[in-house]
Amino acid sequence: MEVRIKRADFLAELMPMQGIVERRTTIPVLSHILLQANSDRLQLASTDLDVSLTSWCEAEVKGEGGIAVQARKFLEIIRSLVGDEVQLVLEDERRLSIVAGKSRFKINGLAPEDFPTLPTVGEEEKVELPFTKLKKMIGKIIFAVSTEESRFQLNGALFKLKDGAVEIVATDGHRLALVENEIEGSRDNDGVLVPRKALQELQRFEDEGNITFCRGEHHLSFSLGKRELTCRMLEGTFPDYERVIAKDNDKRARFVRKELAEAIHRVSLLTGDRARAIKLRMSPNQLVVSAANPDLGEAVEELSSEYEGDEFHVGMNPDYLGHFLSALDTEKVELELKDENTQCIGHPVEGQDRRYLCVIMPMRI
Amino acid sequence: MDSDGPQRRILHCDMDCFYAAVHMRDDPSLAGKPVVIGGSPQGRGVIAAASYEARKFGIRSAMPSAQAVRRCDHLVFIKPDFKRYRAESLRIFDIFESFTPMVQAVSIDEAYLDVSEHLEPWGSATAVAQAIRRAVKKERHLTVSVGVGPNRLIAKIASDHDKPDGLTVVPPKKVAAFLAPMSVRCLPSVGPATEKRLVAKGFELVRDLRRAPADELERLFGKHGRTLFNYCRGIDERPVRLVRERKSVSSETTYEEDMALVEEMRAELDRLAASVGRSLGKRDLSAFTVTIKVRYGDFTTITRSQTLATPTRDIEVIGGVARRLLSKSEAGQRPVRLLGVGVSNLLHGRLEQLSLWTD
Repeated sequence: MEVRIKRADFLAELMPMQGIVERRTTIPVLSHILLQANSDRLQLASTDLDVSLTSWCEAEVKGEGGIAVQARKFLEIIRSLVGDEVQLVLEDERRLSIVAGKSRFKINGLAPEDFPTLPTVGEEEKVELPFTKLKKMIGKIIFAVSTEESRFQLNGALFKLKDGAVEIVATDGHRLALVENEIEGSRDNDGVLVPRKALQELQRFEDEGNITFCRGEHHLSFSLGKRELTCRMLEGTFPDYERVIAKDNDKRARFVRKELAEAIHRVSLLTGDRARAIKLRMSPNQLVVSAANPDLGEAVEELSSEYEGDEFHVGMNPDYLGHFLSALDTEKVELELKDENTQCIGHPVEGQDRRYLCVIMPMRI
Repeated sequence: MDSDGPQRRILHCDMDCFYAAVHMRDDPSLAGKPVVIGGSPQGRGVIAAASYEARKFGIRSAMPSAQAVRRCDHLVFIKPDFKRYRAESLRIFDIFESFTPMVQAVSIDEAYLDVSEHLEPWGSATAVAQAIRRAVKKERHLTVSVGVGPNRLIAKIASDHDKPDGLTVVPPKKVAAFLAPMSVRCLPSVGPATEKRLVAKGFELVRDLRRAPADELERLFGKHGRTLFNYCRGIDERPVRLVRERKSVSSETTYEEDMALVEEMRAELDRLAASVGRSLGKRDLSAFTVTIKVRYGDFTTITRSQTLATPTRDIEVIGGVARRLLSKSEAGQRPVRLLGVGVSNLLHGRLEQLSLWTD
């Protein structure tokens, strides 16, 4: 392999690879990225066996071939070089020389055969979706994806294609976020579970165009421009989420989103590290947010609300409410409540989405 | 006798001759014998504890073992087993804590309990003290002497008043009369040196000391003088501090016959979880981590644990996690002789994140 590439183009494709590469892995080759030169391209690939990313950049290829190189070290080198062009030459099967300007590196790598074979996803079930819209939707639910490994079926979001619409749902068992929008070209499917890491990596993509979504037997793929992200679908049954979106919450309160978010942030400074809880006391036209911690002290803040109902209070994890308020893009937010044991339903007031809501279970304080 | 504020009800619980009592309970052949815990009389060991029978010979703790043998030639020496005392102590403190969360451990066998807010269902501090003594006797087959008073000072002096196996109650109105005839030496913080100086000034008994003006005591003993001034009047405002931070709560059972059926084990885990959940509730604690312990028929023992996103004291939640953890063991494929459920990573109070789905 012998190639010349534009350093800036190369860096642009090299950076997203890092998100896929696991920092701590017991399989050495998984900390590597695969470089392969053929015809007029240098192909890049990285994988953690569940989520993989491939991309390419234009190159002047004098000799084909490939090598797997240590991802982080390689990025550091390419980033530190000066000059517009980089030359990569395979010295032998496990050694790559990097030349740019007056710098020369020879780094050790692994043979391409040692790199895992990446899954290919057939195009039988293929949909094109506007990426910008999809990316915004992911940003509105990703905070609710569970990070608890024992609840593997919640370690991702449910992607449900409806006729002319897309619905994405995430939950960690204590809160749930759902967003739905019209998207042309979408056809019915029964929903697939996209792992959290794939969602995170998709969010890093920047492109105005359409993303091509394909569904295979066990894998999904998302192609956008030069990049293709593939991931293993999460197995397991996603819980019956429509059931927990309470319909009979009779207490409705409206707030200026920013005011509420800031008050919650301030008051939550006096909650503990391990178990965070704030108290929301609602009374006509007023909300009192408070927190008390035996080690730290107490905090209280009042703010105005549009609320007409009875006085009552509810305990809540400030992060759950805070994440939702940060994901919102409207000036006002409405919370639908019932009592201190019933889930709170938050949704934007006059939002752009066809449906967007966040269900939060209270805390018993 | 506290200057103001609500009346406090403090207990001082002091195990009788603790180390020796543990051995004598577990080995009936020691009954009635002068038993000491300590190093060998051939070496340079000292006595760590002496039974009441041994004390009759003038044997005291910290006395060199060789000297003790000279006082009593048929003295029974037992090597100390601190691991055993600590385990016993934990069980006894569990009993104390089932009466009030306000338990301050002073040592392995001694604690102050503030029962001011925890008189129910017994009704009075005296009744609580009696219940504690009964519980220790019934569950641990050991005796504890208890002093009841309006503060730590009085409770401490009272517990020593009728040892062993005694209960002394000093109501607030009787404090002055109770202390008056006692030697100044009975006051905590009065050691041999202070005693000598006090006696030299004519203050032999507590009632004598009460005549001493505050400024004179302060001149003689500095800051300590102020404490003496208060103590001889029965005044002591030191709170009962929770020194012993609880780290875990657990419950386990060894079965007479090994269990083979997973269904049976699951039911047992539920029962143990219920007991753990109740203790958490009683102590106003919640736990983040649930652990199960499984001992197989061949005595190999494993533990499996899971930390939850939100602390709980819910019996069903603890039981559910315990049952899930059991499936990560070889229980069922291998017979089981012991099962245990424990919780750790504890938090004071109740702070429970409710779930969208209860499964």
